[in-house]
Amino acid sequence: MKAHKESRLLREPTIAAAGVRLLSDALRTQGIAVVDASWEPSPEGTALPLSQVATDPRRLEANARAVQAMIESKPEVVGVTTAGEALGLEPRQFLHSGPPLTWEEASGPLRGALVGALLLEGEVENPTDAWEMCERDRIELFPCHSRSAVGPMAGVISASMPVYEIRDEVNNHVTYSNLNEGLGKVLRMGSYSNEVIKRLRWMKTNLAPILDDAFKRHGPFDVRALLAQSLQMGDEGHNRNRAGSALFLREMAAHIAQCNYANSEIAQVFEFIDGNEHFILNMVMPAAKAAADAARDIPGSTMVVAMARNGTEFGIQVSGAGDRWFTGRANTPSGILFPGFSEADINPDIGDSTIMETYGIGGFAMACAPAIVRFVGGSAELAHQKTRQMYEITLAENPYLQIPSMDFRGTPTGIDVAKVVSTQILPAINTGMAGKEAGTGQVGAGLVQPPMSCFEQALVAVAKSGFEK
Amino acid sequence: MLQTQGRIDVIQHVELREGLYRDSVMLMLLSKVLSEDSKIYQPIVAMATTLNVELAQSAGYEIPDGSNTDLLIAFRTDEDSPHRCLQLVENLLNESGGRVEPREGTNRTATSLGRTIKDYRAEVALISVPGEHAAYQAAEAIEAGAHPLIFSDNVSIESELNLKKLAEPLGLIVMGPDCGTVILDGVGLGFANVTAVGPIGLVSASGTGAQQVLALCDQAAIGVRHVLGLGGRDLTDDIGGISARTALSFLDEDPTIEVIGLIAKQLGPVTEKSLERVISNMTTPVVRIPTEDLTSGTAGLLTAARSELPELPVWKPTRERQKRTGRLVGLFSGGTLALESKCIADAAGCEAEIVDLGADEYTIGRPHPMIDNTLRLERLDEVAKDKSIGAVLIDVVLGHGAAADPATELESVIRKIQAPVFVSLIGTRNDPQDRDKQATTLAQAGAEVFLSNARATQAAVIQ
Repeated sequence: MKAHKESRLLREPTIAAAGVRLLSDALRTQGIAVVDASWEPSPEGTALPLSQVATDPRRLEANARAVQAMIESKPEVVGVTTAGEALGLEPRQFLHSGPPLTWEEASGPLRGALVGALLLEGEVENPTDAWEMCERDRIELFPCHSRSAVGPMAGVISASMPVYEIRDEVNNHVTYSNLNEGLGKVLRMGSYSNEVIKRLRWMKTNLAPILDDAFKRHGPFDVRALLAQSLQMGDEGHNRNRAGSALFLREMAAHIAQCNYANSEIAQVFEFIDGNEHFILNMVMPAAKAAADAARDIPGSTMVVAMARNGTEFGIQVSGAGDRWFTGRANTPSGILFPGFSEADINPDIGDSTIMETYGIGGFAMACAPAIVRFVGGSAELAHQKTRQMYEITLAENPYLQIPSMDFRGTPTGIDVAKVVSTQILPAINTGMAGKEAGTGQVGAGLVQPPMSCFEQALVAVAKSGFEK
Repeated sequence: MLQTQGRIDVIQHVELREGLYRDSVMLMLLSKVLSEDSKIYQPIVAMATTLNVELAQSAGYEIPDGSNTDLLIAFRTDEDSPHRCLQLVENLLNESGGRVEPREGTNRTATSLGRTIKDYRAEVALISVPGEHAAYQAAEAIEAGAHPLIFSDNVSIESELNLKKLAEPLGLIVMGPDCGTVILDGVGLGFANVTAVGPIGLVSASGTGAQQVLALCDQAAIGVRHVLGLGGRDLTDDIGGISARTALSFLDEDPTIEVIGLIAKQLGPVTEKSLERVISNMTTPVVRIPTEDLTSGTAGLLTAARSELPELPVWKPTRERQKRTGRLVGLFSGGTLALESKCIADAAGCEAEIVDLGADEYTIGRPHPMIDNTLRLERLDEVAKDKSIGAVLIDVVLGHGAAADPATELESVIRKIQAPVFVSLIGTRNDPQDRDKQATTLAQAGAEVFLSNARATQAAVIQ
């Protein structure tokens, strides 16, 4: 008698079809369950690299490993330290968002943020001197990503700035980000007015030590657990962090209140956090970075481990292609503008915050956030469509981060460049919008598309690596 | 509480899952389902908040130190191990994730083949995209866990080998490339004949070869459950029969398959050895059906299935058959059938010119002769004028995917041919074209019609 392994037996099989409709129609007339994929040929020149990576014997396992590492990473905030110490920055060295670039290539908001950072560091007396110093090439620029850090929008981090320290015990890895300043006229959006610099100084002298003290009292703060809850409370973790910030304050309040500071100073901290619905963003971003970093450097993997914009270019990094950036010209986001601004005021796409989409939330978890569906055209159904589409280009569903309105399906996680190129579906990205002119600040929030060329270049690079192995 | 119930063999399971968050409503429902299980006592599945930990402690559980972002799982059971209960918890915890109900019409969610396979839990992927795109689609199918059936041709041999290597350890069969005939659980995909489901399984490196075997099994009234196509190159030593191995063991595992037929074409010597090893470890008997004589091979298969090759019908023309006075010309749509006829003609020492009109050189920019007879009609017209030709042999393949009424298309040109015309009619009784009507039409036009290509050829080569 033969062993009966039911799973392997084909009985009334369901057929999926790609290609000539004639064949699947013939099955349909026989009453067979057949579903057509809506296949279309991928663009000229992509068929060969697609078939090369697809038949690379390393890829399936490499991608499974990469996405598993991303999902199982457990990033926690352990405290607040300073950038100079933690990231090895000298006073005239600055980190910025996105792939590498020079001052000449930098857009308005990044230039504005660098001017502000020079003022904060006390390297110059006034904005004019700061501008001149930059023009004369007296400053050094590095991408945040090159120092295990991420920064929203301009992403400028300077030596004296406080930074969150995020530790992933699973992978023994540490990442960093600066502290969120709030909305409107802020350094990350390119503002450098006195008010901006004053706020940054207060963050250094008061907010940072109080938070650090509170974190030490509380113990490591599990960011993934916070996201799991905030996604079930209407956040998508990128453009909406209202629930997450509230949850953070709730959990930390007792620990903040016990810090050895005057009541009025403690109250200021509460007030500041309460006034900033993106307060948690600068903790979830480095947490997402830690998770993405866990998936790096797996030969043969076509999974994206970073997407970042510097205001001029959009760049991605892919697990199987090391630290190499694959870049294309940054598109200009579209969305909802603050009163008094027009489309002409919007700077091209900027910021490291696309690490959230890299991690499978933000635009990918749009279905979680009905409160902000105006960004995607106004209906909850469109938000669901966006999220559903993202399952087409991702490798797995994150069991820790669930979408309540989709019957608790896990968020679409691990962007596969091969799937992006073959389906021509681009990652859905939610973003803030900075003013084009240095000093303007935030002008709105909305959506942006990455350039397809980044994904095509990355695909070719991984395909080539298959022959070099 | 447990002691009062007199249960002494109760085991207790307590664990904290670090950082796994589930909403409290979902967890309450989960605990409720667990408590309805007659073997599970006092289940508590909740976030490890102070309140919930106290609750668990008051139920007598010892709870390790953790944080309120951990998930607490605690229960007692009188089963030997907590394994089944844990599996149940696992299923309930993940029940909600990753399920998409198939949607009809325009609301379809899936775009890519991989997503379609996962969303609809498809077991097989039918791929007919242009060759240069086929390898990627097949790899997507493999990644999503479906057997790829690659109808497309022009897939490089490197890609074929790599795909088959990807699929083998996963137990998936890459059918193809250039695989035209497959039957799965009685359902024909591509060019396949209508046949009853039965105890026979076929593994075939040849599409029309498989169709010939199907036609003969049908005549013997014995059913075929699966025909697993391999693509013409699988049994060469370049590929090494990777798909054949997986397909054979797949059929061996199916308890309803009593006999397996292996239709071998271009069998490489190294591959032959490796297949012999596979077959020697199988419980189901395997009968080799050489493409040099498919009919004799099928007779062996039928014997192994405790049946026999029946008397095969021949549809005689009204006019008397003339003696062959010149060379034999064969114009085929099926490559394997052409090859079989050539072997038989050569063995009989008959001068024969056998052409496979389905070969790549004839199909560039035009449909395959199994679908469209235009080219063959042109060639037959020339044949009718050529008085040096002593006999004409053609195949007419029926079934799903084939031309709707080939006999009517061929009828008038056959009438014009002076030399005797022999037809191999490859079809089953229930094929959509109505096999017997096709045979009658052809016979009335003057052809002698056989159900076996070997028999037709044997008749044609006689002087």
